[in-house]
Amino acid sequence: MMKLNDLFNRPEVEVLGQVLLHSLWQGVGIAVVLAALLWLFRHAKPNPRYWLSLLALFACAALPIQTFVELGRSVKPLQAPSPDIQPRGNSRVRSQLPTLSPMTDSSVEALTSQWTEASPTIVPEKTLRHWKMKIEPLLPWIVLIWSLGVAFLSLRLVLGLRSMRRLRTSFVSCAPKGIHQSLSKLSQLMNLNPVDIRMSRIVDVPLVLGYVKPIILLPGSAIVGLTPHQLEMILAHELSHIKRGDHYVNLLQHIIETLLFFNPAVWWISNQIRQEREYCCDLMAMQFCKSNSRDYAQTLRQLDHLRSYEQFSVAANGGSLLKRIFKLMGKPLMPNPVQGVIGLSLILISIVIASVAMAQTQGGVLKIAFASMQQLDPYKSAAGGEIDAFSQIFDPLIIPDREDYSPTPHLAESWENVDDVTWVFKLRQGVTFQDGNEVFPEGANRELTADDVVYSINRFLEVSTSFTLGEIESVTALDKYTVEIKTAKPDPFLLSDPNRLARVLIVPHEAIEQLGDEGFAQNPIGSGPFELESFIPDQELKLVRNEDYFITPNLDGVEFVFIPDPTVQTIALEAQDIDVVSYLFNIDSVTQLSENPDLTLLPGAGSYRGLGFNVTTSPFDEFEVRDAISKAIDIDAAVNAVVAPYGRRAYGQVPYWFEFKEDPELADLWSYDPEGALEELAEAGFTDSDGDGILDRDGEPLTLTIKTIPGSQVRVLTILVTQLKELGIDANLLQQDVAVWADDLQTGNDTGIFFDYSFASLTGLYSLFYGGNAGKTNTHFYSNPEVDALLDEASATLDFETRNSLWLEAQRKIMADRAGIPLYFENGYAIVNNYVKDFVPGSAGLHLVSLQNNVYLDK
Amino acid sequence: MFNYLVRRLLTNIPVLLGISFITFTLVTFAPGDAISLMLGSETVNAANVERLRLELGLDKPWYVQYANYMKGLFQGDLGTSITSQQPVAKQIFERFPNTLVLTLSAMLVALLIAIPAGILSAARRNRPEDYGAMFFSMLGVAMPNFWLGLILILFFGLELRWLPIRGMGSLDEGFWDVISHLILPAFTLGTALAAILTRLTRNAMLDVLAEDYVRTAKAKGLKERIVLYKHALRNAIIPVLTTAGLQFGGLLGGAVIIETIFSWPGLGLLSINAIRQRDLPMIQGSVLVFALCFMLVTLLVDVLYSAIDPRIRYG
Repeated sequence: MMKLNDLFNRPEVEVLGQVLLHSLWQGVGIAVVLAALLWLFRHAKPNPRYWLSLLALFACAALPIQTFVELGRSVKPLQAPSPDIQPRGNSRVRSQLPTLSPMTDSSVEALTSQWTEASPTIVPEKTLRHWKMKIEPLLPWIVLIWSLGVAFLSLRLVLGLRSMRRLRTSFVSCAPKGIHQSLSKLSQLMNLNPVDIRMSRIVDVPLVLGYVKPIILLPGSAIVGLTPHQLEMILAHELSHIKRGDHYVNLLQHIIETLLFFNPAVWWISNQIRQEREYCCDLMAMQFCKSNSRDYAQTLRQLDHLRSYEQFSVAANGGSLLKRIFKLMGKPLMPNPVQGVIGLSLILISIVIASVAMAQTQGGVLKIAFASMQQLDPYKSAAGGEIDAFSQIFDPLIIPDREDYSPTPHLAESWENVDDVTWVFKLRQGVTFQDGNEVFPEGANRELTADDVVYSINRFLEVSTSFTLGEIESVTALDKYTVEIKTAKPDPFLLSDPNRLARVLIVPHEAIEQLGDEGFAQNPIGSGPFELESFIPDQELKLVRNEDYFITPNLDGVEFVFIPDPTVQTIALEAQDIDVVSYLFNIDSVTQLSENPDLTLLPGAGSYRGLGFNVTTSPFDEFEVRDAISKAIDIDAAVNAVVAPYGRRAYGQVPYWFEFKEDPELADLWSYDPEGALEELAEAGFTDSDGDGILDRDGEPLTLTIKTIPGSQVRVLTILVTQLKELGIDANLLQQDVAVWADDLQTGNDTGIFFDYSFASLTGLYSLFYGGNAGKTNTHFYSNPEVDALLDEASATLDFETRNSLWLEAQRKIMADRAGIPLYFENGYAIVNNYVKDFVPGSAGLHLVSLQNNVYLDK
Repeated sequence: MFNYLVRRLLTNIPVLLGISFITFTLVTFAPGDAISLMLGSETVNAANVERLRLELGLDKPWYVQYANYMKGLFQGDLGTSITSQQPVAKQIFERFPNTLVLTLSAMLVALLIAIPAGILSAARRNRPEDYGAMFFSMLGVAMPNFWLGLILILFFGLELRWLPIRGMGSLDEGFWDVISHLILPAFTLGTALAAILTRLTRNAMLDVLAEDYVRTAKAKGLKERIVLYKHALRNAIIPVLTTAGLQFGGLLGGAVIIETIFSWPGLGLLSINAIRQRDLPMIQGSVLVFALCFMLVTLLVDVLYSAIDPRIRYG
């Protein structure tokens, strides 16, 4: 059983604590706005004022939920990632960002100014940090006290509702006939279903009880104390409540008050609603009874003798009687100086809390672990640490969107397709290369122009081994800030694939010419947010803020720390010796780290893992055998046992995080049917002819040796192998070194069955199953002219919908052919300490400062 | 002595050639190669990889590749790394001093622990000091060094926060910075050797202490300290030094693991990554440097014999 201490140390509790604090200033802010609006509409009818107040109350309830979701996202996944890639980080900023649409100067300025703004100036930053540090340890206590308060008030609410129910039946008698008649007349007039009315000996004010079938309860004294006309007005008032559905709203109000009981603003707003509600009903009652305000005021005064009793119902004496009479008589209310002082104090407190809550900490050095970093020429490597560093020093034209990986503007402010093969990019003006180095002395930097883009793309085409741009016909600078790229054939992936154009980082030609390739690899100069301070290969890389960058980075610098061992990386992260492990792809470590409340797990793109067949090797060249194997294994059981919640079942190869969506039809393609598998194998000639428990054909046992590399799949495959063995298939697992495995698979794989892996790039399906890639990335040696044609056509189709349907059709054919059996997608995670804010897991490089985010430390 | 040194060095050349040949053929004929690994990537630029293969001459028969490699080697060129496309020699010589510092420190730690412990153990044979030393010696051999390394990191680095857990430190930060970074990895690496050498020192000392000349020295009335350190130890130390020299190769091998755990930017890590990626020039270069280093240490031990025991003369 989880101890209370553990419960309150959970990250969700901390988030809840923060939410409660945030809700204080949010509520006060809303109350202030409401007060201002009510003052503006002080002469308006009560109905709009009522709706305004109600809206304010719902906003008070909705904002904490939104805050919780927002903060919760940045903490860790509480459950398996949803089918769509989980949105991360600050959606406030995200929602302002265009995705594919070109950005205008003004929108960029608006965005950049948002980041360059200093912290709110009302309270000095140091004081804010001091208070934040003081408040943080108190968060679990705040949540504890809040929970107790909610529990107490909930109990009170439940007991109140129960006593209300009892009021319907205890000490009640039938109302006199005259009252019934008045009531039914009024009900008809108001277009209401008949409402029951009872006389109560306990209540001393008229009230409406119940939710499904509300009734009116009248105090016995009302018959004696009020004239028939006055009684009619009271009944009309109560019926107005029913007509308006006030009893439902009242219940909601109580729930919100219970949850946000600590917030005086909520109580004030709630009281405001009650007040306005009564005004509304007063007006309605007067209208239906055709009486004047003086008579109605007189009735209310009479009611004053009957003091308030119930608060969980809507009653005719709700709200301040004096105010109601003043309102009816159309007289102004005297302002209350004490309320003014309280209001002002609340405003000041809310400003202080809001400032503390919203304080962004500028400065600090972010420490990121890396395992290998030998050189920094961005076109000559694909090692993880190096790629993380490249995007700090250099800028790409486009950056994949943090949520759906679609291209977003960076150096390229906008782009357009002039025709199917021509892309024209408009560059951001005023971006300069870093200075203070041997190529550009301090102050002698120059602007990045279209010529640099042309030079960079040409150099990329020439030297890059890790990434490709596809077939490029020409790259031309049309003017200083306009670049034209012509592709050999229409190529939608040039932009939409995060591994194409987004990988081309812009370099200054002088640097490479002056320093030489090797010199440049050790002394890189780019236009990125951070510039080189020192670099010792495989030891350390220190970068400092590029003061001239077009977005002012929040961080003073970035330090890449050499820690080759993944275990030590996680130890160092937990000890806050480093701040970030940028990519962790190990389910055991992820599980362990997810238990640490000081760390945040940010899901990034993952990988595809399946079973692959070399469809040219016997017996896997027979469809029946491949199909039977797919039926013989219970994939769901194995995947759930090993990778959930950090991975999920795959029914096809196309990953769910890129533009091509998961194909729902594929799920029906796979079923766990061991008996069907045996039958199919028998049809293919595999039976246990010699009685040794192993299926065989022509004296040859059915042997499956699955070649794999280390990873979570070893455990999944072990389960599957056991299932296959139970069916009489001689299955086993052969774990290999990565290089041996890759070589074996490319050269034909004698065993014919293998662990099928892809880091699930956008065009992974093409890599793994396109006939032309056989023997390279297509280790299935699968070649289906129909599939090849579909993939070819899709790769040259700019219209997304058509491309998507072609791509998914190709996938359906591949899966129907059983060229592979998809097992699961495993998520990759960036792990950061909680004080690292606005961090986005890398895609096409790690971007710490972009139009989408600007990482800061909130220590 | 000079002639001896020259002769020894010259005889090492064919050994090195042999090693380079064996390494080359082993890696070439082992399954998997760097280019297939690159080609296996989904985002690969296959045309550029093919061109890289041609540029590096990896398309030629293995004997041509070996001949080209040897030609470069005699010109002082260790080739270019396939994966990082940087000169191998530059990377190796940046890293090698770090590995040397680590292994020599580990050796020093081992000797500083083993010799006093071995002497104490022999001098107090079958007494609590002896049992204590032997117990720790057993423990030292039994503990895997990667495990010991992690435990030391957790305890001294994270729990007590006395010592840094990663990196090498820098002289710019002061001498203590370098030493403090060195303590944990050197101790971790040296423990197993210390354990072996303690036992060896004890046994050698026990043998020597039973010799007539020791009895004579004692009979002469010499102090026990003089007998132990001046008469016995000088004779007992020869097998200890021989073993220590031979174990230096083991230390270099162990450094691969220790460098990974303590983020020590040495040659061990570079070579293990090279092996994973089948980066033949880098593997070849690392192995040659390791082999050369091992040979030089063995030579050094031989030279030390004559310094310790004047009866040993080389000519």
